[in-house]
Amino acid sequence: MGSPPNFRIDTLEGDSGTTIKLGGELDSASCDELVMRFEEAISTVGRRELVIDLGEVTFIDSSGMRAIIMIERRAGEHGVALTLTRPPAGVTELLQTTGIADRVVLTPSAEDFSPLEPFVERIDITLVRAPDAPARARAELRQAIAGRLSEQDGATATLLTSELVTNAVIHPGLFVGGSVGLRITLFGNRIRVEVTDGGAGFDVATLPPARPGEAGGHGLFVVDGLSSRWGTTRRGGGAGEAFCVWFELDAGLQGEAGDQAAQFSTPSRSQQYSSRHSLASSMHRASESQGSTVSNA
Amino acid sequence: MRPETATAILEIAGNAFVTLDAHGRVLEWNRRAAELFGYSRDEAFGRDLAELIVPSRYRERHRDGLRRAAAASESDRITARLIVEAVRRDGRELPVEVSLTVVRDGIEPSFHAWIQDVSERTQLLRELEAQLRGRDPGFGQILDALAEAVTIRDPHHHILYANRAAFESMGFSSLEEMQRRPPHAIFADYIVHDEHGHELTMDSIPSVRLLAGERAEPLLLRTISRSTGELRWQLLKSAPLHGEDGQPVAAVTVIEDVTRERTADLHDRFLARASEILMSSLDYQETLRNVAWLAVPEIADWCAVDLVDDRGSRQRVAVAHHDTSKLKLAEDARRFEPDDLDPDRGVGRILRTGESELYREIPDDVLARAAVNDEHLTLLRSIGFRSVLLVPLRARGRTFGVMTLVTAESMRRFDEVDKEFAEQVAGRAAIAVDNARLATSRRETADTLQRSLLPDIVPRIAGWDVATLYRAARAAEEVEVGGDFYDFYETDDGWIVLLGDVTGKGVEAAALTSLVRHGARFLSKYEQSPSQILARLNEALSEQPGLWLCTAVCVRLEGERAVIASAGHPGPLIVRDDGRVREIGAIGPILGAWMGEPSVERGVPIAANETLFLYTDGVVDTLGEHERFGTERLKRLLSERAGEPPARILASLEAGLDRFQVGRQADDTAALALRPVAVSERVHGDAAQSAEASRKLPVT
Repeated sequence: MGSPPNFRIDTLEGDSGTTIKLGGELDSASCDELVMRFEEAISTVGRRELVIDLGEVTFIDSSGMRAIIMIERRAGEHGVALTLTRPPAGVTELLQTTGIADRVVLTPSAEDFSPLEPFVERIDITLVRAPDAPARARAELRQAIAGRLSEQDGATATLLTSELVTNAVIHPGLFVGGSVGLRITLFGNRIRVEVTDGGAGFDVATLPPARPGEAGGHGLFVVDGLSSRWGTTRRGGGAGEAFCVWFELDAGLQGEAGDQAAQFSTPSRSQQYSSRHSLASSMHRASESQGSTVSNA
Repeated sequence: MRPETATAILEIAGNAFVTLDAHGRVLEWNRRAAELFGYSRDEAFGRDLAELIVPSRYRERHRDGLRRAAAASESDRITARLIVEAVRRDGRELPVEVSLTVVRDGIEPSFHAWIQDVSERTQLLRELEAQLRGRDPGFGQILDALAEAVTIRDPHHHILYANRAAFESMGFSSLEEMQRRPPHAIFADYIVHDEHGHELTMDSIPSVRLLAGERAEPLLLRTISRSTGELRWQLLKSAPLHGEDGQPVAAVTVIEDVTRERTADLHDRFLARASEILMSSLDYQETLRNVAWLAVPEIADWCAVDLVDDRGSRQRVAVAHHDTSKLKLAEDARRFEPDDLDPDRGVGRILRTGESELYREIPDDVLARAAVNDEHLTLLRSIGFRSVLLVPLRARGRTFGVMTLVTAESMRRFDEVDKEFAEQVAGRAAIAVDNARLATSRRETADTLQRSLLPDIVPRIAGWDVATLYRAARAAEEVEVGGDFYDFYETDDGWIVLLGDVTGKGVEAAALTSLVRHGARFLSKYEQSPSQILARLNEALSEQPGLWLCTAVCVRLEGERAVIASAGHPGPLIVRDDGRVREIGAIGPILGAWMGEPSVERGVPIAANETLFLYTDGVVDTLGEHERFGTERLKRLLSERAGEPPARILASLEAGLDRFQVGRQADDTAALALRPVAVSERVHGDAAQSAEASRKLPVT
């Protein structure tokens, strides 16, 4: 009996503990194998640290999640510290949704800046790429944050959103048409806005410096100056590839949602963000092909 | 060619040549004829040939033959080659070979014959015969000791010799007895087929072919004795004996009985094929039908399978006959048979005893006793029963059916070997049926359980338009009980909607799902807070032995807002008519994993132009050709359908999933769409009353 074809598992013995490296799909066909490897690992005398590396995992279903929860339980019973590392974005969301993310040490992969915190609400809007798109985006944003952000934070978020949507409408081509995707995600202590279009995009490192007196080109400098962090990323592949510019603004949510979100925040989460970078400094380093991030935290 | 040239040729020919008129009078008589028979041309001319050279005992037959040939229509060009006895002037008889042609160029036909003295050849045969039958220990005795049958046949269709194995196998007590019966008649005692099932005539027998100057390969025969019904496989190999003139004078045939080998081989192949059919599907009625059809005509002429259920009622699941026009006979006969089976007869008896029965012969009085009336008897007779085998279908100590094998027009009779074989076939079929029934019963249990996880009807909820979607997971041919469920509970503060997914499959998961669903119904009587309901369910699941996990979303529907609590479940989506999608984030951990969780819920406004969409992970986990359906694709689909009624949205989703999905559905899928109904459309009156009324409505 081998593992299912779309599943890989390796146990690596290190000095202080064991790493179980997973790849492919963790589902009802493969989860027993994981539990078995785990039991083998904790039966080794003196092992007090266990790492499950999720870096290559493409899918986890409910059976797979049950296996992870069972491992978390058993690790607790045996006094073994369990760390889940490098979860891809989709897996991270699943770990958050089920609540396991709050009960294990979760360390992100170096290149992955997907937030390791559950969102309160995520809003997806498709805007027609037309001159009134920035105005509509501002309206949607105001509606989304109504009563949830302070007046100043709200004004900043509205301005930055407007700038990104304006760029998306103006830059990808000379003609008007198509659509611009706007995603607003509210977290307990910050807001993230992503603007997606089908354009060629740009590279942070190759942006020309803004020239005083010219109408265009100020947008990103405004974003760079006022956001807590921002960046670019590409979504999808092939013909459906989209270019995404995002920013985040650290701002405590107010009201009911904020209170609840606070209950699920753990101090460890703040560790994920890298040290401060300015746009100017980041322009000097080559940006990665998958995307780049500028942090003003 | 001028006539005198022809005459000259005839005069020097080595064989006698004779021409007769239509009445058998000699018109031509060459020199060799004169030499052979002792009459000169002048003496013979005009005489009746019968009077001249035919032995008196054959004269009538000779004249008959001529008359028949003369009367035959013109298109029948008659040529014959036969060996007959002739008589010379001196009274000595001699065997001659006659090649005869009828010519019809005048008003009346004339006959032309070449006649050859074959007494030398015949002498050789006589010597052979004498040697074989000689009283001295010799060749004949050696042949008699052989297990294989050996026959020697001469060109006159005469069995010159047959060893003991040969005549005994054909039911004769001595060679003389066998020789008294003409070979044609012996052949006609059997129904003879080749190995491909084609019926054979005597002309195909190797010895006959050899003597007709043809090549003769070994031939495998399947014979059924018309009198005993015995089936036999025989391999015939023949070799010619040549006379001094090089012509074949006799054919020696060695007949090897290969019945045992052939039958064993046939049975092995049949069992292998039948097992394959039986394992091919869980539809046991279909597989039984296929096995029945496989059995005809090689194993039997008819094959029928009857099953009885626990209440003893009988169902005929298969009747097969290779000539489908005959099937109506069985159908008609079945109508006369009482549904209550006589436990002392036929199928009823087999069901009672569990023992198979072999009726080698079905005499008419048995039919007469079995028939309920004259019409029935006529029908039974027309089937032409020869032999019947009744074999029980038995598994785990219970007889639940009978396989009936019947021979009729094939004339063969079943024996103990057939019975043993039929028991083997029935044994395999019974296990297959038993397995299939167990699977069916599991499937039915699964269906029943699955139904118990969902409300019979969707209640009408005042102020909300509600639609539901449920796609059950499938494993191979079975519905697998999954853990997805939803339900609606009415409380003083409004309706509570619960949708969830218990991790795992099968009966245990279904039981837990039931616990959650009905537990929530009970809780909702005392607890109107969605987060409190989920917290109590978490406690109930955590108390279960083992790790039972459940994700759920619980929503209380109020006028224009929904109070949402979620536990490890995909976030509810709120779709505005312009396509905006709001996803409500996770606000609590999965149920059953951890005790003492803070319970949270959130009031989310839902406008009149918005639809609340709840779903289980089966939707987004649906596997397509390249990837999973995913949340993004789901949002896009809902966004495109925004503004449509909930039932339409879910129909689009179902169609979308069906199109997207590759292979079987691995997981359950449940989804609910809820949309506030505009005030003017709202159902007026007491909500409880209307809900009560709607429960009585049939499901639409």
